[in-house]
Amino acid sequence: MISRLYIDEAVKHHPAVGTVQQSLPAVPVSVVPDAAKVYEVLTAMQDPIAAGKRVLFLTRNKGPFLRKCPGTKSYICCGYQILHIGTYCTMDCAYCILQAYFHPPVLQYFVNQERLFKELDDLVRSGRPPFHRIGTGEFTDSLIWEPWTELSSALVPYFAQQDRVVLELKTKTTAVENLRGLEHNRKTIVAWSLNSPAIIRSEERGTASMRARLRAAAQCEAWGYPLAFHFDPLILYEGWEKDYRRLVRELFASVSAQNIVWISLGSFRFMPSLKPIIRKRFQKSRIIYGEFIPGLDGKMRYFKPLRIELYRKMAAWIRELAPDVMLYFCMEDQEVWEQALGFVPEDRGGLSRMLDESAARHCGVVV
Amino acid sequence: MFDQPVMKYADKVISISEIDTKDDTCRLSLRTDPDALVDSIRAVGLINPPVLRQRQDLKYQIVCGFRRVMACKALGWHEIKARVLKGSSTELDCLKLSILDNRSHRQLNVVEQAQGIQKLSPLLPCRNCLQMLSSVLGFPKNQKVFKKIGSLSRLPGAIQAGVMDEIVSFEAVVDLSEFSSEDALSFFELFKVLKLSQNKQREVITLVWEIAIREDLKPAEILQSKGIRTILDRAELNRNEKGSKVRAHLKQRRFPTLTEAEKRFSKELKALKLNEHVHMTASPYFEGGPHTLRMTFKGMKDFDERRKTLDAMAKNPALKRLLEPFE
Repeated sequence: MISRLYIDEAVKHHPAVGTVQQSLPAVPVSVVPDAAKVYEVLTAMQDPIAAGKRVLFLTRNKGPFLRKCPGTKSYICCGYQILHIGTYCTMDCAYCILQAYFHPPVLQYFVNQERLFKELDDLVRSGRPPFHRIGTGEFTDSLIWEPWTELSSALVPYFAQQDRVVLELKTKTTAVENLRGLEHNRKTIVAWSLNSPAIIRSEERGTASMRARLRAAAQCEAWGYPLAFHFDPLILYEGWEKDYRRLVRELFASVSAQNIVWISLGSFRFMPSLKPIIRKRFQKSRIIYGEFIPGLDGKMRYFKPLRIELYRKMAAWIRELAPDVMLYFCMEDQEVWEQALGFVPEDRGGLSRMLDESAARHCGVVV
Repeated sequence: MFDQPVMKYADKVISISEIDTKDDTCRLSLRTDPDALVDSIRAVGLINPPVLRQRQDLKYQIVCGFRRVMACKALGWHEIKARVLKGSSTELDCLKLSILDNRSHRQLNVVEQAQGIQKLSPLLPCRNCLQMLSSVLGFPKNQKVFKKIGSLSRLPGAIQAGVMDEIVSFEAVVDLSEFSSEDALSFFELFKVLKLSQNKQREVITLVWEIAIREDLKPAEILQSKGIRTILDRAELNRNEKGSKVRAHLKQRRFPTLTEAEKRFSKELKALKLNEHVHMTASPYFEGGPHTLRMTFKGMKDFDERRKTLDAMAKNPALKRLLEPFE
């Protein structure tokens, strides 16, 4: 629930600001000279990380809207691009990297979308490289903005008019109502992060339940949208095998495997600086006490044989019900691919190409 | 609140039996041992009289000079010259006076600072007041250090004294302040035996804490477990060996799969039959980074010998198992 709206002086007359204000009529508003004022207020609070979820800062994006996903050389990256619409999230997941990524993290939304669409125009027209996968769910949840903005109503029809780029909206919400009736031309993939009900209950405060997410996915499928799912972060805990196997079954009982563009698997990994934050803010959480080792990118990861076992089992359960679905790992190395899936992306033209081809099959784009 | 009121005193001779030496309201130091002072007072007398405050029950409370009173008592004196506070002085005023008196002739150690913070905190009207008083009282101005010292005061006295005796490091004690007294004392008992360095103490605390969470046990249960006791009881081991074994035992319990992989690596490494001139190290945590091969030689003859060792190594099936441990 938003308790205060901060508006950057520089955008106070922007029409998008009025739209947000109308959707939050009872919320007090402060116009501020810059972000520093908002940071100052939040930093003085008892729990700035939680406080940052209750204020909404409307501002402009001074940098590029289109960015490369911050992958590292040490692990195989999917070559995704980020559409930087805003930062942070209203939900509160224990493992969320955004808690440690911004100092302090603030729910901020960029209203200067004229430039966003200009960058998209340039990309669509440029023809190089020939195909792109773009998502808004890297620094925020794609659909938390739906109650206050008209973002999806603008983005989805935009992508529908071209055949060189797909948009992925990744969420843990059920805020799909605004997607109903939009002209999407299957160029928008609606994606959910999935986890077991036990993990959602203990680690994902304020998110939709697993069943609710799957119902929303089925609804989007009924509206003709292609779907994607991200089992990320997979967490090892007592009973994970039974829970994750059931989750896979529920997924394929809810939506058609043929309509899934891709499924990613990623095990829990975190920057060391996140550990004390989780310990302090989620005192009952046990997720940081697994067998983690420092990875090649400096993030803590489960010791490799544990990851391989986890992926092997997940892949087998998914393959059993959806043998042809495009399955990939988020930030893993060749050894893990080989051991868990029996091949390395290089053998099939690379991970980016594999994903592009799946998008071409499901979304009718030109690769 | 921030200005120390001008205190007025009356110089009196007080019967030592009228002084409540157990009233430690204003005591900062855990040490009451008067030995060093006894000789000095015997030789030259009491130069600086203690400061006392008369309580409502007419007994005297020591504000400044605990060790002086105890030294005079040890010398068999029945009476002592003292400066008795006149008028009504609050407990806060007396504590501040005690701290300032100690500070006037030496730096307060961390335990004394912790005592001061603990005793002053409940008497101050706001959370930040104590930090605002820091510069006057000689407490650290850095907020983090201030909090760390404050956390020390929550620990049992034995552990606080252990900081002064260098049994347990200050940083480790800050970590211990998050534990119950029972758990903290269990760590302290272990550190008394092992005399570990600061980093190793903190490593043990983290390992035990995380094992306790993983296994749903109390830290004290882990520290008093058979595995640890058996190591500590081994008479043939010296203190350093015991320390290493305790840490290895805890690491194995906290990271069982990693420890197993390290053991397998050591076994395969032995099978390679390398010598003291050729040494191989696994990639860190077997995560896929480069392995290291170190070779030393003096001249061409040595070099040829090493090459033969490397050739034999390449043909040994153990090498493949080392390089592909998760096949």
